[in-house]
Amino acid sequence: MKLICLLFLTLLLTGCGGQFKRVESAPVLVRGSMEVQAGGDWNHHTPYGSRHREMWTQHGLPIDRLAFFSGVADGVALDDLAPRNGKPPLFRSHMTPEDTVGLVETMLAGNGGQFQLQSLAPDTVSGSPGFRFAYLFTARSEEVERAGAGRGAVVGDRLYLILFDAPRGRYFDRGRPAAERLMDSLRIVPAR
Amino acid sequence: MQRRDLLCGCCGGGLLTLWPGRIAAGVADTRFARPDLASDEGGLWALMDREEERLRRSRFLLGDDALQRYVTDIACRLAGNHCPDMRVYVVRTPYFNASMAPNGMMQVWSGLLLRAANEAQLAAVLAHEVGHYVKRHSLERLRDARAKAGFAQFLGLALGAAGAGSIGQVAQLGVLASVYSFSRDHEREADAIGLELMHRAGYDAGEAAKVWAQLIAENAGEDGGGTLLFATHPSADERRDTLKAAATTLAGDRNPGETHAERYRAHIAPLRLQMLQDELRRRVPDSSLRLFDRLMSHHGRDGQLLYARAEALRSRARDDDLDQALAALGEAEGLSDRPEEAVRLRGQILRSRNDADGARKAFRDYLELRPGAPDAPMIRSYIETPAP
Repeated sequence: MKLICLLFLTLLLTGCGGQFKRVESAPVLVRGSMEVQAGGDWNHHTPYGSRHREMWTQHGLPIDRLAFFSGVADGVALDDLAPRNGKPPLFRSHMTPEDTVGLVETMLAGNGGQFQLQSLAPDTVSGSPGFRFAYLFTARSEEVERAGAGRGAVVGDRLYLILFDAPRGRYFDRGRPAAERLMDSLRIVPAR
Repeated sequence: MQRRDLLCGCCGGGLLTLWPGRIAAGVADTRFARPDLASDEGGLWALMDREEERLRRSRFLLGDDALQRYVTDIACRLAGNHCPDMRVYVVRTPYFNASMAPNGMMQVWSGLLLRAANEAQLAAVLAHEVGHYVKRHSLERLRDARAKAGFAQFLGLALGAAGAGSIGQVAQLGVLASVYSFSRDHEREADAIGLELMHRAGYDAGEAAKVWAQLIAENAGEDGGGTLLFATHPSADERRDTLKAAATTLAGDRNPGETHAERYRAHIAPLRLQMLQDELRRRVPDSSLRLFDRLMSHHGRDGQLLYARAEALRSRARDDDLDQALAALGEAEGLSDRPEEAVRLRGQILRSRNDADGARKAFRDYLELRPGAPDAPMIRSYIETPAP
């Protein structure tokens, strides 16, 4: 009986919880449609239940987080891990960059957090028209001010987005160059 | 001594003789002494003291001294002799809520300030929380939880209500709405006490029922209304009806009391745009629209509310929402309190409708108003390139 319980627990922790694994080599294909050159010591994790998300970190998720949103389809919530009764807003393929940043804002700070856009500018992402942005936010549950930077583009009616955030100051400033290089290297391989 | 106060309260015979929570003037008016740390109540106070220390340092305190003084003064007028034991913290959170811990720490959330139509409505909610405090409901709840071996859960709830601990996520705060998940009887009793306190302080007690009527309307569609109270409180309909009847009894043939609507508006004005933007950030346009429409019926169709309405309509973008949004923005034009973002919003809507000239003009106007806006490079690109 104990053995069964142990096996069940192991399955629970390794399967449902989603395990962190080291990012071994470059280039890396993230969720089948975002190829990046991964420099640095990254660990990756695919959250259980997400259709399009993958999380990377160098020092642990409470410290630095690189979030990939790979091919978010029209009519699907960017924050597809939000509680169902939370009614997260849906991505629409006609959305402007401001709208997409708005989805990020709601995901990070919609439940009573604070969010401040620092910059939003057009950019070329993987050869397509896209955008880059920077922001500050504090989640209600955390009370730590974090800084973030993102890059995104809508290609073939699907959203491809990378977000990096870390506590404002030392951790963000240290992690940002590697994260920006990684975003620069993004090549979108649209899902068929 | 304290027990005697409470007994006095139960036997004193208040105005609301048919109400379960009737109180008398003078009930528990004697300030509470700090309980012995070795007692269960003392432990609870110590726990709340620690959480209060965290709250003092919180980034979510609104930090507006004038508003802080204003809300504190209202709470003090309601609390009478307990005033020196109360510390009020105005917290930036877009949900309707207030809470009061047994050690006198009171939290008032900005979502409540946005939703109250006047000072009497705010006083109704604060007086209800004072009702919990003077009846020491949290202690009863603690003892009840202990008896049911639910102490750990209780502590989690208490910490969560204070916005702290691992449970301090707003999603979970929903279960906690008014601090300790009081029993329905406690809620009814706090309602009764609150009503009498606000009546005594000169407020129109009829506004208490309106608070509930408004919340019922805002939450009608179960589409993300900004109140977290319904899970643990008596049914909102019951509350509205009971409060309405009791307020009528209280007032009798006399003047019903004041609402202080103008004074209230003036005090929240400096922070109202921020509160509206916090509400918009939730992106629940249906319930936000109901809220904005109601606020317009109280405060008039001012520039901020028209902008907020337009933003929610654009976010929903159903049927003729964009037409209505443009109409709201047109109405806001020329109003002194119209936010600069309203001009950008007009440009965004026109651009989405392929009105390139109209959009360019709006974007140029926006950049003239806010040349250093963080999104200025993006807006400039819209001026330079046609819509896709």
